Amino acid sequence: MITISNWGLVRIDDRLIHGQVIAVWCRHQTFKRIIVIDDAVAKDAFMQQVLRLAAPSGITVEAMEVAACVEPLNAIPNKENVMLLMKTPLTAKRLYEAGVQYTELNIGGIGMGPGRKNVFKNIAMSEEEKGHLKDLTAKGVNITLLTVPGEKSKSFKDLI
Amino acid sequence: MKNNKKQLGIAMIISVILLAVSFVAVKAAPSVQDEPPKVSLLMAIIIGCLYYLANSPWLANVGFAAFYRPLVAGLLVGLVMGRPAEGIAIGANINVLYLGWISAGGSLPGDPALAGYLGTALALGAGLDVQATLALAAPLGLLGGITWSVRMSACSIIPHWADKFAEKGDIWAVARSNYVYSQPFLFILYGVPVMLAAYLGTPAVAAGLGWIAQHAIWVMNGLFVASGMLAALGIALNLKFLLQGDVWPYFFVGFVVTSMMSGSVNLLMMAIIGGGLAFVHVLFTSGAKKEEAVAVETVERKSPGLLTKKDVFASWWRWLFFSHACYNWERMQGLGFAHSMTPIIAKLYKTKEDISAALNRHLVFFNTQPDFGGVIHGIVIAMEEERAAGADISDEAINGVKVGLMGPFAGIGDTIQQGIVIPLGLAIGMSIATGGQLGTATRGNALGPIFFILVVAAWAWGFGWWIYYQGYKQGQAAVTNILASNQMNKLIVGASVLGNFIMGALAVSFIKMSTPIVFGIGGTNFAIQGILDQIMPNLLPLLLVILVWWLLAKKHVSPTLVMVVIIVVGILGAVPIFWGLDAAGQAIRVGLLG
Repeated sequence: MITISNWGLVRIDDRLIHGQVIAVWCRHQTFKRIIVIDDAVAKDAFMQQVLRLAAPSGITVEAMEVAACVEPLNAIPNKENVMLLMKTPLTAKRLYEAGVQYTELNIGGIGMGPGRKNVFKNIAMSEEEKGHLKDLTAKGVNITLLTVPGEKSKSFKDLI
Repeated sequence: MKNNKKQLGIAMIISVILLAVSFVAVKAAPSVQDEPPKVSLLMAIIIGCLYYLANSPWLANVGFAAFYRPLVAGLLVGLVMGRPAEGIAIGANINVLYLGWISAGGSLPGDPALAGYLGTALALGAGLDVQATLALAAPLGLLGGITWSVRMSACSIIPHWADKFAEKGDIWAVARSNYVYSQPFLFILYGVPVMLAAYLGTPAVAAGLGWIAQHAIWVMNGLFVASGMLAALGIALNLKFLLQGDVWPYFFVGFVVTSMMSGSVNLLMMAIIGGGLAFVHVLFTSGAKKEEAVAVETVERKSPGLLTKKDVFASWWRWLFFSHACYNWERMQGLGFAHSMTPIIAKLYKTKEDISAALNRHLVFFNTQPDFGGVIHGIVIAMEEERAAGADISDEAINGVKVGLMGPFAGIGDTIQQGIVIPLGLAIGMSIATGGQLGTATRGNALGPIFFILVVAAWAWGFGWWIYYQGYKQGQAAVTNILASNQMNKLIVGASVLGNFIMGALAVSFIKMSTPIVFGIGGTNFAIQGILDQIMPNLLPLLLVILVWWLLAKKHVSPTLVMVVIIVVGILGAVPIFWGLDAAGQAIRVGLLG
């Protein structure tokens, strides 16, 4: 049996750390760490520095590759103080399949791009990305489309 | 290019003239007449247009940042209706609720401008007492949320037109899509309903208030009480943002200092005390976090010389004005970004293919905080210049900079502009406008809103241009130079000290709350308020702010619910069926033993 751990927030947002995250989420809940799961950012010292500087004081920011994040993530004791940030549904699926389990997934923002269609507010996704999220739903992950607490939200189940 | 500067100059001159005229008009305005002014059709049309203007891109970014706020709305509507002084007092009063109003990343909680423009018009036209206006205007603000999502959805169509123009290489049609084609729609969406509501709504509100005055005067007392308590919600919303980390004690310091001055303070003086405290705090804590240095190029970029400062300026003012002209869910400021690049593209690229490619490159999703995020535009202009000069810079590299930086800069920008510059400017402006007597002053001073507009303009125009140009001059090194110097962090920490201190002061001077209950025991009267004042003056306002803050920040109760509860409690609390309330809803006496 897999023990399912409760992360503070698991969020897909292709702008990673920005106003909604800093001014609203970090005031809504107590976060001590923000961990960006992104293969490109994990290799980019410049972007990591920018993200660290953008985060509110008192919150540390790290970036990890999907392939190398499972053990360190699962070893974190206080997961309720941790925010996991990813850019795409694909990363979210890879993360789950690699062995980092979560029960709730928040989709905060996915910008328009080639092949993507707008589904809700500032959230767009391609058919393929929808498929990834369906796979996660099938595994019991509850997916909610929500920019910030207090705003109108939508369950992913209602989209399909 | 000459045209650009001319247009900008004209826009600025018009703004200055408008400000001057408003100031003179306020001073020259007739003193209070007894009859409330009737809202004529012309007045209603102008008020609708003003509301549209506050939502439009025509005011060089002080539209949303300043004219959108009830403090300024009160001045303008007051001028239109011939009661500027009363309008300012009403606007300042309504603005208390929106002191901590933050819109992050396209999410918009309520509509301060609707509460401001329509609220002031209804209150003035119906002759409503200033002290009761907030309870009337607050529900109006909620209606604005509806138009917002209509706007964001409908404007998603226009970027697709721009895509087609980009295919044809028509630079100026892309620009027009952003600032021309979106506007008739926004005018209809924003202007028309407010015109109708101001014209048709005022007689209805006046009739309603007339009925209340005759048959249920206690409702007025309920509205007074509710308005006084709603200020606590405005302050608590701000505290949700500010009351963080190790700077929270300054809130209580601000509260006590103001209390000791018996509540009537000049907020500018308080700001100076707070600024001193902020300086000392930063000096002794030397900012919050220390950053390890990462090896990044910090040498000044060598420009290939294809562009001049003038070209960067031409790009900047387009961004300053039109960043949100066609804001939409699909690409957010994507079209605004492309528009800001049009003068650069026109200068750098000559063939149709190159122009098309460049326009397409910049028509994609983009969203940041407009002043602070301008550094990204500067960097992108530098990259485009180098690319045009032959350097090997890929589309991915340019897009990577935009996508990577837009989030973090929005975060810091929102923290500074919406979390600090606007609320502090507003607080001081509101205090000047009402002579420190917010909630009771019935005539306001135009210097208050003007002060606020100047603060916002100095930030958006001064700082905005500076950082835009730094991006161009230094390229990517600008990012690390601006962020890593730790100055930014010191600034944020210092500003939160000042912010907390001022909020403490506001809790005393803005919130009106006391208990009129008197117990009579054996022939001696004990006024509860007197006993509370002996414990600590202004204890009730302080407790109310802390209660609301706790509900919002710790219990995650929605601000809307808190607002509704306050209004309902205020009004129901005044129903004369309660023991000890007279027909006007005012407590007369609660006797225990006679």
